[in-house]
Amino acid sequence: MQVEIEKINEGQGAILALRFDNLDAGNAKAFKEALAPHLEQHQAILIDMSALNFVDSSGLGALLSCLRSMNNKGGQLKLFSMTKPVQALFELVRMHRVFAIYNNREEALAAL
Amino acid sequence: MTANQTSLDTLFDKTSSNTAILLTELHGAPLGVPSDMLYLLGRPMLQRVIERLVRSGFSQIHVVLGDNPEAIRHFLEDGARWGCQIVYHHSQPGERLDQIARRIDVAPDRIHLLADAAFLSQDDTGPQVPEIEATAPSAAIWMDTRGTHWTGWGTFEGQWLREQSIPIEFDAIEAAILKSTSITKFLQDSPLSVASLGELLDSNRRMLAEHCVEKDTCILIGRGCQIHPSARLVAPLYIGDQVKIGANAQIGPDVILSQGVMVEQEAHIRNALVLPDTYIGEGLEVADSVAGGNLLANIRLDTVVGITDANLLAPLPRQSRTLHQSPRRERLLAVTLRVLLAPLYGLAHVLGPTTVEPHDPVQRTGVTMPHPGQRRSVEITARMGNPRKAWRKNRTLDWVHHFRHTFYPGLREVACGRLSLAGPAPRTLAEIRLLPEAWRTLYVSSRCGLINDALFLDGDGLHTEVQFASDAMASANQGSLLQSLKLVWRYLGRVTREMGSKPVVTLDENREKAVK
Repeated sequence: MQVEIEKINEGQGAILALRFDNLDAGNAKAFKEALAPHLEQHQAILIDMSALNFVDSSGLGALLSCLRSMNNKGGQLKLFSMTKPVQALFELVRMHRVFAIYNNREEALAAL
Repeated sequence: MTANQTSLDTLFDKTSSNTAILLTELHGAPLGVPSDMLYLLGRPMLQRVIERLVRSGFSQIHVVLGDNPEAIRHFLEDGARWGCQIVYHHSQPGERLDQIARRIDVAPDRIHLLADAAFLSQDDTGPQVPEIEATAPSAAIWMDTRGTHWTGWGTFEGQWLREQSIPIEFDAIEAAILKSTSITKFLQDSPLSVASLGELLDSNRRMLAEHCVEKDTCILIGRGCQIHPSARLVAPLYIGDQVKIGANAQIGPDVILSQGVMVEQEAHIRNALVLPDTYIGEGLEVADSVAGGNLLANIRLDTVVGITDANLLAPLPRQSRTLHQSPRRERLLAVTLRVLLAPLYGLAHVLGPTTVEPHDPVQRTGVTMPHPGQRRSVEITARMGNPRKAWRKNRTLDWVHHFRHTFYPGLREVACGRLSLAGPAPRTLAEIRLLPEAWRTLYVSSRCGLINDALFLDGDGLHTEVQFASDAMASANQGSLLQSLKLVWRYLGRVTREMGSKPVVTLDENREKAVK
């Protein structure tokens, strides 16, 4: 589970870049565990989805779980640079209306 | 006949036995099936192309297959069900057009039609051929901001085909055609196309618009659909046969649901094509897409994604088997009727002479037994009299004759599942081929029936439009036991009324009349 972390200036939050291909039933739990400390530590989390090519319902569930955690403490969770297959899947299950999704890193940062 | 068709007929006088060459699998299999097999408003493009060729007079079609020929061969078979002969040629990797032309043995001095199965002119009068000289090869082209394109159809001299040392690829053939100075190019509208998924969706929308008189109110619904009352349908919309739509689903605008699709509750579908036998899960949103099986092609995002969760998007098992065989209830009813009506059958044997030959023997009648959904036609022989023999010269039905020779013996066929009680009138395969296309389609998707409404119309019963309307109504109501029962009740009423008015005639008297 390779996740690169980059802190955003002035303690705004952190950018988490997912460096794996699939988020599915096989690694959804590990994904949640890997992100949990960062969700706790920061008020704003931006997730770079550019390397992710496939997400199934388990992966969506894991992302939703992260979103719920941030919302519960008044924080923000934003996704950016989503690949087309993942974007198509998000639109299919209407998750594009639930998550804040941006085209690129700059737009996501500007929205903070 | 239009000027275009006139020149087409003249042109075909020069062809060798009206042969056409159909290139398939030139555009890949984006959704797991050859693009030629993708659906255009309820029917595969390939079927529409074959039907167009047959309607234009081609009796032999050379189909050039690519890497995955099984689906196309299984669908087309030998061509008999389409009214033509199909000859298959498997193109080898790297094979060129000239090599295929030699393999097909195209006559160099004749003109042959060459078509890409992924394209079709929207005009229903047949392949568009303009006013051209009968001796001139030609190709239909269309233009847009990007340039000039071949429509995928054209007529070419055999010699020209034998000289084209180019790959069997659309782009290569198009380039050769546009470069050639010996081929007349004529302008057409852009054809219907399944060459890409975007074009597939656009072509379906165009066909839907063509079928709609008023786009804003046009909702076409097929047979056997189950639509929840709370579902919202927004025109223009096409819903194929056997489609199920759940509660609070919103379908449309610009949606084509092919046969067998199941849409769960709360799903929203707009500007989309859903291919046959596809399950759309609860609460999903399908927009600007083509969905088939577990594949979703989002046209706006230009991406195809495979869905692994069966509760989201999945293929459904085909329902054709239940359509093919008569429902069990109907078969049981037929057995019951055979038993209950046996005394009436016996009575019919001793009743008075009719205007038709009293000893009209039970004839073997061959009727086509289609496999709805599988689209295979199997010809069966039903042991019952020819229903047409029961009509008298004054165009009224001899009810006793019909009961004795057609209905009662036919009940056995219903009990065996080969016929329905009510359905399109039994016809031989040859008779079906002569029918107009819309009428022929009824026989592809329905079982033949013993009776239908046309029987009760006496003088009009043999009239073509009335017969077609009755066949269409019977096809639409097929599967409804209640409708069948109503017809049977009405039929038996007529039979018994006529029996009541006839004198009893002995067999000897009947024989004497037959001899006379």
